[in-house]
Amino acid sequence: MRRIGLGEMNALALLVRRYQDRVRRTAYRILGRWDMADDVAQEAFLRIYRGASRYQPTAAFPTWLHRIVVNLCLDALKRRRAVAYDALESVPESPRPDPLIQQERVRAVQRELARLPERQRIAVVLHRFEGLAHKDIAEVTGWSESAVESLLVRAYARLRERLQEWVET
Amino acid sequence: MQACVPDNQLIRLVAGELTAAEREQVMSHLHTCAKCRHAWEELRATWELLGQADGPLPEKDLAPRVLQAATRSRSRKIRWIAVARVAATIMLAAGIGIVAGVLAPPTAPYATGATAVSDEQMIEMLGLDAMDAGTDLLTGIFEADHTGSDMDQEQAL
Repeated sequence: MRRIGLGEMNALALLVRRYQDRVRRTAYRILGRWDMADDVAQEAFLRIYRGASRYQPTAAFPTWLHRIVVNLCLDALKRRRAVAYDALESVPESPRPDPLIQQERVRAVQRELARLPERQRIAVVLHRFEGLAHKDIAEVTGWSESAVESLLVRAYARLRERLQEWVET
Repeated sequence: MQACVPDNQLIRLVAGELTAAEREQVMSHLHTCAKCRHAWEELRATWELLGQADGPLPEKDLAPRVLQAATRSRSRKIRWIAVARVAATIMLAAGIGIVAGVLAPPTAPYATGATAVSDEQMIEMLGLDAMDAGTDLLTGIFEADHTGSDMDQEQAL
């Protein structure tokens, strides 16, 4: 971060290449579209670049990064309230195509994830996919820990109910 | 028998967020409570299923895009700094001018100076004394001309 703060573009490129997959995936899980996810990822790295000279390592870097990504996703969702999971149409073909049933399962999970209310979805993405504990989610989002807990309970209950048939498959 | 495990504790259990002691306590309850065990199994299955939600990540390297945008942003920043510097210099110069104008000693009033000069001095300054002779000459010519006219009138009569 110090090198980025000094304007070293190579350091910025290194950071982007190290974290881009993670950032893109997180944004995609929240937004449901790769084009939007890529835009968010780009903007997240630009914010890091602009803020690098003022960066104080008071929080772990990944926490800071998550905070930026979540805030950008929330902004993007505000701009585009109705996020249709168009991305489901654009789930890229795997080089080695999964069995049909597996693809169907992936689609079902993505669809139900997308149907969750915004805050529940963000909580689940950070909890299940990013491996953040309740406390860390609260830190990243600025929501209280009890709010995070409540969001997760409701979200998992809903997913459990909606994905019943796939769980049994 | 212990109280049933609340949902948030089950979630923490599945996510591996409980301490060893908490985990042991919850697990011992699950061994004795079919309802909680069922809820836990369902939650665990959902958790596993969610793990399969990811399709393949489309290959993309954002680095060139980010670097290009960062360079653009830096050039814009440099340009703004330059503009701000010029503006600040102009403001500073204007400020200095205003302050200098306010603090400078008052200059001698123009109108009062005129009364301090006597008429003789003014005539001398403007070089009017040199024209006195010319004025006399003009008066002579005028008078001569006037006289001539009278003579003409007499001759006509």
